[in-house]
Amino acid sequence: MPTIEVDGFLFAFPDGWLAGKYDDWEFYRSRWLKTWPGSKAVDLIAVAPERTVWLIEVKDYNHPQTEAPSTLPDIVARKVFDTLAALLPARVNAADPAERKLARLSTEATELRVVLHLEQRPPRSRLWPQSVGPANICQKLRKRLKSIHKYPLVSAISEPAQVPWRVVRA
Amino acid sequence: MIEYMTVRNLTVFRDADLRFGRNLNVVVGENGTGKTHLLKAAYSVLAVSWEEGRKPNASSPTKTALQHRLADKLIAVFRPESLGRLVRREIVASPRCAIFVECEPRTMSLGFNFSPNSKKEVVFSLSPSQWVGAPPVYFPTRELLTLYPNFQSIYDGHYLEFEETWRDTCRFLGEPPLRGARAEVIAALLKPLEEAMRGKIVLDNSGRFYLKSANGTIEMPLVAEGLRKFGMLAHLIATGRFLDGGHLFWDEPEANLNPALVSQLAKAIVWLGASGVQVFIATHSLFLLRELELLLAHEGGGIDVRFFDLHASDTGVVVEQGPTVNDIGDIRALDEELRQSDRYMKLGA
Repeated sequence: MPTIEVDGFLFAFPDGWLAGKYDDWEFYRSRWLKTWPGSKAVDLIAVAPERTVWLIEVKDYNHPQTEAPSTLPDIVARKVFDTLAALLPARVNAADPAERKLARLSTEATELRVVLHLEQRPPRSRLWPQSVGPANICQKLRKRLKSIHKYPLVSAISEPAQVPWRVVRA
Repeated sequence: MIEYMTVRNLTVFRDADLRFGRNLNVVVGENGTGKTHLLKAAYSVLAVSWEEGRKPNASSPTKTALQHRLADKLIAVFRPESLGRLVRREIVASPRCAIFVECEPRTMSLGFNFSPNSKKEVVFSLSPSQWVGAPPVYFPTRELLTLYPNFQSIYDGHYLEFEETWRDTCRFLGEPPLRGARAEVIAALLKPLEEAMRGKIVLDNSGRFYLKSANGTIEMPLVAEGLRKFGMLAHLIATGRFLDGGHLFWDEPEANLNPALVSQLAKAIVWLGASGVQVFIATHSLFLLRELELLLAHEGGGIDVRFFDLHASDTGVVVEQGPTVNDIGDIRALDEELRQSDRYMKLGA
């Protein structure tokens, strides 16, 4: 069962999956960013055996520096777009065999899905059970990503979307 | 049904082409972007055609018969000081307002225009050769059940500063519930609405509406405003008004309704559209939009729906449209909720 930690969360993927922490890839850090400064990256790429590739971004609003909610859909959409642009070059040019393999499986996928793992800060008001409305974010993401994945998901530990992995705090 | 409508230089619109859905049309946009004006323009055209066609010994449509009637209807529905006031004001020129409505069947289509100096008539570019068969119904933002008693007769006999849509809809509210073979169909359709209202709408011989429930009979002014809006829809369904198709224009149907009622309202709107009524709504409600999206997803594409986003630009209001809410421009209500989240996140930061 591949397990990866991102920003204090442990993502446990089912057996047979291959996953990698894309924004830590040597290809992305040492080569892609030098060619395309400012290019963004999703946190995780995971490929399921049935050839579905999942691009996963993690946001935790318990951290005070997290982006303003109104900017989040555009930020996630940009990360997805930039990651997709880098995957084929990574498949061909990455020096690390593990990165090359995940890039190859990703570009051979027959289905592409996007998930935002969104953790809320604890509620402080009855009017705000969730400080960042998942449905609001999801609706904006659908518009931004409609040519990539028609139904992007917003998930959380307490309210997991229908995703095949488990997430716990590290 | 209306398939297309083109609008040139009408109030806030410089140039707008709209392709309508057969079943449901949802118009969103900020205040002042012309949502109600679009509904009223389409309603006026259909209403005049239906009213003329139902007159005793009505002949086929002629330009002469319609040019004054349509002007009168536009004035009565929009309530400008003169017809020409509906023309969009341009700095450089004095253009004409032109509206073209393409219907199915085509023989009901019509096109007309008028200038800023027009007082009492429009000029037809295309006149219909067939009258509209089923009447359009216009629901304004407020309910009309409490206004109903004697409203139509007073309106027809005196000058009142009410839009004629109110009078037109009151006329339909005065019809008796349908009896006979189709009453069972109506009863099934009314059931969810009557459950939401916890009672039935009755019109007594004095011309007043009541909500009749297990706890007794309550006069309509004492019923919650939101339930009265439900009652208005329920009574028109009971009269069989929507059994044979037709058109429903509903301006801000969500006004005065709590979220639980909005959820029921969305079901009624989708049902009306699916049953053959061409429904047009203008809304500010993100909640209603989401209820509709959920219901339409369950319908699996069986309903022909179109969304329209109106937003202001330097050259007048621009219309973005498409078959899903994701095909139109940014929804202001959603953006405002996100900006509210921004402000909330800064509290105590």
